[in-house]
Amino acid sequence: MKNEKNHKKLERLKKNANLTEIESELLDERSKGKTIKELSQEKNRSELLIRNLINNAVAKIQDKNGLLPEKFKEFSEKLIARFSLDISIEEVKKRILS
Amino acid sequence: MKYSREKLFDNIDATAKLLQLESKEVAKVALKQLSLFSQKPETILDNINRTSNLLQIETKEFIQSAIQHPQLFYQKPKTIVQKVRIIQYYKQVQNKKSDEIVFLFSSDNVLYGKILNYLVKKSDGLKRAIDKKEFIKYLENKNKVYNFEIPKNEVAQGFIQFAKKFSKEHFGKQIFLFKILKR
Repeated sequence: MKNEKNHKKLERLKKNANLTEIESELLDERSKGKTIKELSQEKNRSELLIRNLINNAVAKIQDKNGLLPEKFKEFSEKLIARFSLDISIEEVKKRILS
Repeated sequence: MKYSREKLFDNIDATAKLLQLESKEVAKVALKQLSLFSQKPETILDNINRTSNLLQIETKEFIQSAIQHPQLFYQKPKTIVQKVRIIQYYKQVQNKKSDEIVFLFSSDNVLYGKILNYLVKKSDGLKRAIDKKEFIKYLENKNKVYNFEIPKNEVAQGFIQFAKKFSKEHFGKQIFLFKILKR
């Protein structure tokens, strides 16, 4: 019962965050307890890529729900300043979360 | 492993210096390929040198390709080269000019699948493309064994293994037989 409720909650969060098919699939599998290594083997992709995709999916959900850490904004501001990038904070966020 | 923001930014500067690029340019690429922030600059350079050596192209030329396709900065040299060779083999099977270096990032199985798809289409005289789902149905309906003659190449065995596995998984038997031409 509790699992079903959590699953519905996750589905709602995923839907709102506009996750890609692979991000959504990986979050599902991860929430069922599969390890990064197992997912990497199943999808024939590197562990680094799988980890990045999952982190990205979580960040998208956080962003959509106003939970993205303040550090994220700070990171974007400093990045733009340090490398004189002519892009906005929103753009940095969009690129990182794309 | 956790990195401080400064460490991530320093990595960009160090990578730019090693690759003889502007930090700004590397930072822009890093926004498309986030691992550039955390990968060791020396490892990135080493991978680039190894890949360009294996592909026998200039390092600078490879770096320019990597700026266009940032995945090239983090994929292992062996992985990049294997995919290039499969694409070249696909061209060779089609009797097209096959020495051009093209970077694609689909899995090896997807690339091998394209070759198999091409061979079936050619053998049956099909003009239109068939996607993977259609392809399996098509082969089921055909219910025949294909005999293919394919050119010799370092990835030919890998392709044959893929085709055998594909056949076994979807049809429970071998429906593709291969003869590798020596020329």
